[in-house]
Amino acid sequence: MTATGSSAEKSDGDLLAAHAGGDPQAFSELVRRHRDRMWAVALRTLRDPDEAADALQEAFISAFRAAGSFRGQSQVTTWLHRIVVNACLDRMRRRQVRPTSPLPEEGPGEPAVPRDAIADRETHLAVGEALAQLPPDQRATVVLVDVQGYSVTETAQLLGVAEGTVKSRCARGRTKLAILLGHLRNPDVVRGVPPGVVTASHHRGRHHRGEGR
Amino acid sequence: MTNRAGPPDPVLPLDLLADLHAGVLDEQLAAGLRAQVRTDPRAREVLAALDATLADLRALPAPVIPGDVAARLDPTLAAAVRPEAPVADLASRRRRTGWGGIGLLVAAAAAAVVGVVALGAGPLETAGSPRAERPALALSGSDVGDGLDDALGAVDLGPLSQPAALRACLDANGIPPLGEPLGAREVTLDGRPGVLLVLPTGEIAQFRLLVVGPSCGPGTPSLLADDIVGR
Repeated sequence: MTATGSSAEKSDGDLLAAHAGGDPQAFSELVRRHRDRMWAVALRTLRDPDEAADALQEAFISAFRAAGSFRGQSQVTTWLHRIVVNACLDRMRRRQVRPTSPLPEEGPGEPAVPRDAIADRETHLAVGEALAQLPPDQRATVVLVDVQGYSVTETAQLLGVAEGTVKSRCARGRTKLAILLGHLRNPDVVRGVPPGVVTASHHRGRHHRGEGR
Repeated sequence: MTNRAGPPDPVLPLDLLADLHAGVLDEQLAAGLRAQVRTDPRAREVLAALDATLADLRALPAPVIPGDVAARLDPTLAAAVRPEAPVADLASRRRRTGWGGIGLLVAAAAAAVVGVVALGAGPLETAGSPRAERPALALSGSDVGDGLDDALGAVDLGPLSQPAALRACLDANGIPPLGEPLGAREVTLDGRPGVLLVLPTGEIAQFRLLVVGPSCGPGTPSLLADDIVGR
């Protein structure tokens, strides 16, 4: 086994193939490459660090065992993300995960912040708490698109839903968050339906036709 | 607060504005709405609020995986391929679901899939789907290892199909409960009928191959071959 020295230059796909072919180091390298991003997704989605750690373990074990079923139709990262997100969603659905303690944004693992960033930190805490209020599917979607910065297309692929669904979930999730975070102070004010302009049902109809393209 | 004075002008519905903001709407509808939004300060406020929300979300610091969590990932994966405790846990869970000894085999075999490929021994078998009836695999005493590919992940126990019969045979051969087979295949060894059992050794990609005769049972090891292969 002398192949490990070159693993740094191997693509994710090469590593997965090497793992399926018996290279005992290949999967470890994949884990090293992606664990931070996967951790971010798991932590932001589940919020509870213990839950996130368990979900991540579960997900990597699933990926480890399922490597032989990876067919290369998608990116390895997309495939891994899907496994991680599914592990998180499963957990959220199985036992209504509630935030038990505030997420230590400044704890180990968080980048050091300057002392004058206390206000930022409070905002981050508030954002984390607000995210936790969203239903699982919405939260996972908002985390992927708005926090992790994945495109709507990528997110749709890894969640296995239509792009229109991703956008709708973002729209609903952001609205709730805007209210929870105090950016939208008087939601009642804007609830009125303008006569003769456009109605909700009208817009829904358009929306679904738009999605079909 | 519920009875506050309504706004003098009708405004766009919040959900519609959020859809506009998130790009849900088709371009024609969106363009019309944008024109309306320009003349509607409340609608602009809503869009600004959604922008501020996005900015908050994007500003969340990226967490770096804590060292202890990272450290737990690799050992867990290592344990996942070792036929020791984790497999036993999985196996006992499966056993409770009513699969009996076969469930145990299947669970263990699932964990051993990596072992198969580690030997470079052909395509991944999906453990858990016992194969259709096949003729006994012919092996010679000098090449028992040839049966590994065929037996790993297979649940072809022949005369040992009953969990109690299998356990009794394993007991007779001194195999402890945690050493349950990872696969089994009816064979003929130099023409004598028997069952090839693939047993874990505690080493990744290394297996103990036991061939026992049909009379293997309580107090009767009926051992025809005992080999270590792999690595």
